[in-house]
Amino acid sequence: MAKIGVFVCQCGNNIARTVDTAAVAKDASEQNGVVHVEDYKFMCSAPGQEMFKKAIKEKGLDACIVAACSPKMHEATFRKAAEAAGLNPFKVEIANIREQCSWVHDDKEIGTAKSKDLTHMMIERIKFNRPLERYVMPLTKRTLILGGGIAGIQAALDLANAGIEVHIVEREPSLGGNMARLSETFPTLDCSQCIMTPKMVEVLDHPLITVHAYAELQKLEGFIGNFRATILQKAKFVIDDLCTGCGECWEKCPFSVESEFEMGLVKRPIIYIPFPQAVPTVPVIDKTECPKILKDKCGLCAQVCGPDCIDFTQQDEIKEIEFGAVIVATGFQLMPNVYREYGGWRPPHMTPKKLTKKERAALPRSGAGRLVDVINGLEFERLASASGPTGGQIRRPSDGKIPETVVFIACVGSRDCNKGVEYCSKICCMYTAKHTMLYQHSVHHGKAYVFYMDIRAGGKGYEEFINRAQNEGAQYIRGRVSRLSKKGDKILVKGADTLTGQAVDVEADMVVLATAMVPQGDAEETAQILGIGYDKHGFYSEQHPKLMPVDSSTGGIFLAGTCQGVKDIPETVAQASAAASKVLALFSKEELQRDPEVAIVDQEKCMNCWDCVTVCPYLAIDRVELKDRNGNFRKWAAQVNPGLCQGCGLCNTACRSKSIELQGYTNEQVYAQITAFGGEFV
Amino acid sequence: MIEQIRNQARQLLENGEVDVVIGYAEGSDPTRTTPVFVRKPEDVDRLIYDARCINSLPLYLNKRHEYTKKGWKKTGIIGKGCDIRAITQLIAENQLRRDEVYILGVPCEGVVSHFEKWDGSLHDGNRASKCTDCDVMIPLDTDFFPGEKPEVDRSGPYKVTSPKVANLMGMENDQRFAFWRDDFDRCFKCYACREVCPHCSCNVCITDETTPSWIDPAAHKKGVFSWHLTRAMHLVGRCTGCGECTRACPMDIQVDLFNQRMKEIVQENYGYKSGYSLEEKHPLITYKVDDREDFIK
Repeated sequence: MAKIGVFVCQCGNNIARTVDTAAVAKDASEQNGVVHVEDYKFMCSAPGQEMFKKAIKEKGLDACIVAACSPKMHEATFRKAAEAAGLNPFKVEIANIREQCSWVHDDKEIGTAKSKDLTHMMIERIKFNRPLERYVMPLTKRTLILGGGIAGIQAALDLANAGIEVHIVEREPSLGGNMARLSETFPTLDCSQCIMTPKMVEVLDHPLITVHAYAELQKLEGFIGNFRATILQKAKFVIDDLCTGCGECWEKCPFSVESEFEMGLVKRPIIYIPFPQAVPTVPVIDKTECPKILKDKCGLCAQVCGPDCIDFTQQDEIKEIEFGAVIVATGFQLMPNVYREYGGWRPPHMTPKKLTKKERAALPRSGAGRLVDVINGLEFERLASASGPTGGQIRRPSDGKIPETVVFIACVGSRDCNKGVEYCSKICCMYTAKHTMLYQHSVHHGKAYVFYMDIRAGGKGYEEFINRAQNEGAQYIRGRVSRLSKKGDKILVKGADTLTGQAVDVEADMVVLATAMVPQGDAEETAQILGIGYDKHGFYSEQHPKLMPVDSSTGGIFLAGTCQGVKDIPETVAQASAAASKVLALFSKEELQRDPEVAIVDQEKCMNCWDCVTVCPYLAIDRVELKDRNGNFRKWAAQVNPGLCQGCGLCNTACRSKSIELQGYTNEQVYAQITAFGGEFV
Repeated sequence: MIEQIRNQARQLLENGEVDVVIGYAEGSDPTRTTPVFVRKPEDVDRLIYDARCINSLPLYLNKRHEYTKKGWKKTGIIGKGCDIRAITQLIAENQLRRDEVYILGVPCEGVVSHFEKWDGSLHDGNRASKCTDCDVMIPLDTDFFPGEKPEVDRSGPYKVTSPKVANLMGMENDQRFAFWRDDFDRCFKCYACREVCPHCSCNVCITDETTPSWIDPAAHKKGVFSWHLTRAMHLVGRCTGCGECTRACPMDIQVDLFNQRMKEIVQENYGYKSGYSLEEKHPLITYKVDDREDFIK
């Protein structure tokens, strides 16, 4: 015979206002199997929990019902208390008489009757609760970080400094990401490279960090604590260990193609490092362009290489490494192809590289619309950067002239439901203000105009920064630009000033577009490899927008930086450290404990239709062969991997033969609960 | 036509390509046919095919049945178009492998609804309702077909042919409930509808479950309603419409009206027709971005 305790909570007045808790307790005490009842003001308070524990110990209760708030709220609290009192935590159930009863009813009589029913149902249900034990899983204390931008670097350093082994997979030849492209950063105008490169070197030199530069993640299998990653190391054609980074090869390379890092503003050799401060300083050969690899001609780099580290026979390499956690920090790109919006045109060496043939054909070839001097924000960063193609002097791309008038257009592609993305890119107001300052610091007599929709400068020191930009002479015009056209060697910017209601024409030498920040072009494929959720734009979804902002929808995979949503550098760094601390919390135990409320298969009943395999969103169900005692094949059956199962119950509903049950929510429990309610059919 | 089938069956049995050929033979009286398991080449002349061949033979391929446990590696089966759709559905549900069956397709002109209605010919008075608007009279997936197999357009929607469904849908809820209450009053839960269904493949049927017994075993209203509604729900998107459940019912309850209506709903909402693809999964367990969600209000 069960010995059930029922603890009814008044929740101050929250429940007591519409529920007569004493009557609920009295009704419960009359139920079969109930040996102890309490009616108390705050069950979750310290004295309430003490009372709960004391009753379990003194009356030897073997199951407890707490009639109180939602199980989301305090189920964990009471299960923990029960465990402390020596009762299996899964023999504690919550009857939700607050959110689903007292809060939604006004009538005390109805509220009390419903609370009695809810409690009664739980009493019948708990008679079928089994004492479940948590699953213990091994834990690989090694972290994979995808992306070597500032987010990846920060997370890697935080983890490695705490003693955790870290592997960074970066698809470019160097760490750095988009932040390495920036000249100076708002709101302090400190040099981006100066604060970034020491961190990059620290990552490379750290004994616990392994950098897989020029590599990509191909496959991720397994589950929290036990991932297995397949990493494709693309052939560099340069032997890492021998290369000294002397630079003979890339200086001598007779061929050149547009530089991705410099946004196509200049060319780079075919054997290259993306930028002078690259880390690691090991060049790679672009195998899609190199004549030696394509046609077996040239090979000059191999001849000039002192340490003899160039190997044209190198092949792509597959590495399989086990990890316990993954941090995704794959970053962003600027919305490609926005130039067309404004009738702009790029010369071939400045066309963004990833255009398809069809898109290239769609670009206007000649005549009006040849607007070489319309550039985007990152291109301006390169022009303003001391290590950039112009050595920090701001010169326009077409003829190298120093521009006298520059027009900055904000919200290009962002906040645009029709042609662009609906969201605000958040950083553009700030970096446009920074650009006007950088421009005016470089060209003292230059005139900067900013066409904007609103100024959004919520951040520490941000509004002050905008004021500073305006005080330093940038002219802010509230309104949109309708078109850009060529006028002599200038660009005629036709816009409107909506504050005065007048049309504004500006003849500019150069136009800078504050282009929308969007996820990487292959963000969705990456999400599918990882098995994490993403929104309609391709930004990765967090588990909870407020309370779990760095957890992805999959256990053990965390998010950092702009792959999750638009962010500036301080926010990115903060999120990276947050993700690192989540990993540290996960790794703080020697083994992983998993909730036993997972699905379990009755394999004899299973008729292997694999409907459960099809519906499972977590790929937690395997197909296994059952053998007889002689080892001969007997039948196929489904099997749940408790490490992956999240207990959602989809497989339960899909299974016609009722061969799958969710532990803690078994058919017997649910049936008892329903019949206790007393609903009669027909 | 039947000569070609017999020859092929004989060849298959002689070469040992199949262990058994399941087909139809003359029954106990001239209006009846019976399923027959031909295991010796000399017996193939028993095989017949005409409009009296009602039975859905894929039933015998279902792993739930003893016939599949006899150790036969490969089974030849004579199939009308609708039966072959049932085989396809069994394969899609992983209850059968394609290489376990050799399908001898027959061109079909429709079958009678009940043996008793056979009067020497097939006409509108005795044709089964599933046969009036069928797009698999020339079967879809066959290993052998007598003669040339003409191309048939099967892209159109699957038509719910029984006027009884439309009739029921035209009724008020109360009237419809009254109809079923009266019909189900006759049901004494012999489970013939389950035993004859080629798609009922659970090792333990939910109605035989005892911990807990979701479906009351008694043949009162509660037990009967919960059985028939559960059966209908379990066949959503899977029923290929052979109509055997209704034919097998000794109390003449039109249980397949549920299935026909479900088929209509699945098709309208998800554009899915069961038994046309070996790979496609039925819509209750799959998710597509463009699935209709107008039932969420």
